[in-house]
Amino acid sequence: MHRFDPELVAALAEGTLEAAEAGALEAQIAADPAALADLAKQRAALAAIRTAGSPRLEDLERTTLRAAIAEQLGLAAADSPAAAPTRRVAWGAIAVAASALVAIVAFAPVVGLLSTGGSDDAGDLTFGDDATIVADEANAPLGAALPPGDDMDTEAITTTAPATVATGNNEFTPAAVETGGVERSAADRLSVADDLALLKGDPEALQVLGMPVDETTACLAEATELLGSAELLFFEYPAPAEDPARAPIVYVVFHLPAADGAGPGTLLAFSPDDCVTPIAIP
Amino acid sequence: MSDRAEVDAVLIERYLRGEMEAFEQLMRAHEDRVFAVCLRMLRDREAALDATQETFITVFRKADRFAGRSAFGTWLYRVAVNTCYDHARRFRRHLAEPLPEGNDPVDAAAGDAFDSIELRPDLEAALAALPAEFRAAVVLADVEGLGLQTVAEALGVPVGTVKSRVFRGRRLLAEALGNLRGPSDTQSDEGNA
Repeated sequence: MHRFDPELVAALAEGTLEAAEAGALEAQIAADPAALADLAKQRAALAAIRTAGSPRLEDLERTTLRAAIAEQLGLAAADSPAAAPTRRVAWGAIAVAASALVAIVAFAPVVGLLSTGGSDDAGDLTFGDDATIVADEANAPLGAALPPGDDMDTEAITTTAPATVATGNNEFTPAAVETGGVERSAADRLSVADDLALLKGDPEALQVLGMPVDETTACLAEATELLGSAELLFFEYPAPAEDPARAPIVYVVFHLPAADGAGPGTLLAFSPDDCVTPIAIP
Repeated sequence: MSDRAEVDAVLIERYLRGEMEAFEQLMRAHEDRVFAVCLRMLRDREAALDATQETFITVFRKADRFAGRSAFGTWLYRVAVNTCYDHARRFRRHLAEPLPEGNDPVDAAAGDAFDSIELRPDLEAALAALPAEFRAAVVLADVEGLGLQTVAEALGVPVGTVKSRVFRGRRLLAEALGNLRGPSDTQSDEGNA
């Protein structure tokens, strides 16, 4: 680990800092091997992405896709193939046929990070500063900045995914979804920590509550990184907010059992709409 | 609002008034982007096509719920990402598993000649190795070039979380690329970074 703000390191790699600031930061980072390695990784990833092509639909795939959608929606597709496709298209067969054609692929211009976050006031921001909104949407090909949570009606979407990702076997409540983006009060977090500390003293209860994680468990990536293991169990902890006017908050609690089986192991709780700032349970 | 967003807003309104041709225009404008995101999320062409189809079906069936306060494209990306998560959960695909050599569906016309002009198999493999949440952030922010606020809205997480996931995702991506290509390639890349 190093002392440099990850956001500044990222901005330096993206080339979005002012020249003077970039030069000064680069000089400081050069003296810190860990930071230098991090900067190199950021640059390597961006370089790889910027030289990659962009996948495109093959002609046959495109035609079949449009026809299948039109059929499902009960529309007449102008370019549908002669035989109407079945509801579920045999994409495997289409893909094999398409791959036999000559593919002409144009490089999609990679907008990349040179145009995103260009007007970030990176010096004042940390990853956890949810109150700050990125101002630079001018270069974004789609969309404009909006308050978080606006128009994001998750009920309109196929899944019942919450602010992040729906778990495989535990759906977050709609109330928790609607609180997406709202910062938790310190009092709420302390209350959760206290409650879970009590639970931690009851290993049998932890054993009953814990369920295996899967790839869709919210904040799994962050928990795995912080706990240093993917062998985690998790459970949901619904905590009423201190303000009764606010909806209850459903925390995702990860449990790393003790390696030797003795003791409760480690607990780490996340609010599902904020995977950056966990609550460590003493 | 960008030009594209303005055009999309008009097309959605026309579609909701019953103009089916507006729906076709919307789909044609976005089908490649949606497919690209799905392919990078699922790393399987067949699954990506399925997810693309599902995405558009969902969006256009629920278009009446789109109030226009955000850009249509942002909403579309959100549906696409959630559809991909659904696919992953439904079929329990191990997105991080490397594919057998010589059978990479991402590069359907596999061959050395395509490495330089089509998808980079090593990049696609490295992306697939990322945790799903980091992959989504990197794909939308770095690969698709969306602004961080748009990515945050599409993923339904705070901007701070997006920044964190992009940073961590790039770090893991670089490490995976280094592992895939070996020390000599990694050194030459770092020299060019």
